[in-house]
Amino acid sequence: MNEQYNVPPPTNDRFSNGEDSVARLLRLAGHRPAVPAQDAAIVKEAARAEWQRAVKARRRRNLYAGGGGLLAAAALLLLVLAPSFWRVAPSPVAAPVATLEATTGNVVITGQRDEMLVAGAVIETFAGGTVAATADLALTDGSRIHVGPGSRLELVAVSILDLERGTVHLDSDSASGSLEVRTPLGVARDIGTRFNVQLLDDGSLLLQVHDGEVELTNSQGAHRALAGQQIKVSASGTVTPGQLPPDVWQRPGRILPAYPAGIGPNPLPDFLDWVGEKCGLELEYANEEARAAAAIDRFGDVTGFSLDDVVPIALPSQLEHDVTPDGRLVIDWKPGDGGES
Amino acid sequence: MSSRSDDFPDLQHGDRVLVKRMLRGDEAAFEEFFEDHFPGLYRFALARLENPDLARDIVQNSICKAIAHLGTYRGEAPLSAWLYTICRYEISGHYRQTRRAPRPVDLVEEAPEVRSALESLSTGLEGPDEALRRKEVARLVHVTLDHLPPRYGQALEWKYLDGLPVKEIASRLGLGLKAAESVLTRARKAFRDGFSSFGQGRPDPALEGSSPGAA
Repeated sequence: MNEQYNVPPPTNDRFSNGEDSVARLLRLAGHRPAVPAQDAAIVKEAARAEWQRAVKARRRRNLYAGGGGLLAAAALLLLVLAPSFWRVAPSPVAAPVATLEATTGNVVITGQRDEMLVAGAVIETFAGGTVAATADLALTDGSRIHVGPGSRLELVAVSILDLERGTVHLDSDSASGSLEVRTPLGVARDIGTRFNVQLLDDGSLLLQVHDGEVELTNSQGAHRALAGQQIKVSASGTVTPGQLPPDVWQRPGRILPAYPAGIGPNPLPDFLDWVGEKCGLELEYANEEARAAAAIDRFGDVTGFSLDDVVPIALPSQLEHDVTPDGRLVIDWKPGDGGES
Repeated sequence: MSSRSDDFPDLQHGDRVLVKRMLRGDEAAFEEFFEDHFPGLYRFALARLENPDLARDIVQNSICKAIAHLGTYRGEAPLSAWLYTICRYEISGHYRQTRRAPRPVDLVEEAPEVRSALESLSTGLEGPDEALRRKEVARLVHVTLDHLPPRYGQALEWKYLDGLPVKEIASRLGLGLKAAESVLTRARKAFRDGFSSFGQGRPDPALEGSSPGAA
């Protein structure tokens, strides 16, 4: 018999010899199992962001209660009336998780340090306005995020996003591990992919997968969607899988950020190159005549529009475009147009 | 463990101070809070959910909810009891949402197998069930340690598993020698009380009695 088991019987006087019994029980059991370090880090980051929010909220309340109400009200008024781009200094302790690449329209960002967004940062893009409000981010793990108009997104951690409303489009870096989008109706985890997560106005959730594979977890369990598939979750939690409409799948419909060269006039071929790059497509001209016909300058602002909105407007009337399933943006003559310029 | 809060009123005072420091934005207080409470909560959730990812998410939600309502913690119960209660509610909520019966937490607090295992300790553990019984008792000891105030559990492990002298324990706890001895004495008593109540199937108030608003 193992000596370690010589523990007094489980009666009320089980510990009559006190320390020895405690010591023996502890030695019998050994150390408590360790918690996975990665899980601890993830939870800690989220907890820290929540704690910082709570502290800030409390300070704001104290400011009001302590006779600083007028000042705070003025600050709030300034926030409301401020220019569309408002940045709030982050806490110095939070870790950077993303770089802000571009914004359009009315966007409010909290948790920004220079161009870096830190854990707990919130991006809010407002609906309406003459220019669609959007934000483009690059996570430190290499993934890219486009936040559509009317959205509120929190960067809980580098691999955890919390979508309260609106739409996010994600191009994840497959080498960087799983990216997680949390919504009130479920959690979408990618497995190296491009996908949209959209909270619709009717209260439902729509997940559309363009590349790779995504797992959605909600109260009904885990559901997987491959490229070309979508999952809809009703407000009551009912899950309806389906095929992505072909036009949506072949044309990801990514909303474009501001064109870096400005409104122009700019060379159309450069612009088409940039659109292809932003949408993960390779630009290709069907023939040399099409290439020559596209060699013009164009003028205008494309921010807030999708590829399918912008390219037909930008192209001369005799040209059209197509997005092939293998990821090419092809510029060709319209049927019946013989090549007049 | 029902008398734990009466026996150690200083613990709630310490918890109240910790919460106040957190509310003031003290980074060290947040670190202390997280390092003290996360491991136990994680093991608590994992035992009930059996899914590490789910356990992590549930604990994350629990901690975030607790932090969001830190201002409502009045220190009438230990902070750990408050956190375990919130975590338990989160786990119950998960099972309600999935319309599944909660997984019975085998061999932890209330199971007759635990009592049987304890009874077998005095008579010897030979035969085919030996490994299982040993595991059962180990889990009960771990659950008891997790439900003690964090520094009590640490102090007991340092002394009896790592063999550290009291002087070193005192240093790690940031206490004097006498105070560390006092902590060890109280830790042993708390462990005895907790282990006895678990072994006899008495529910832990941290798990059964209070509600999130009760603190």
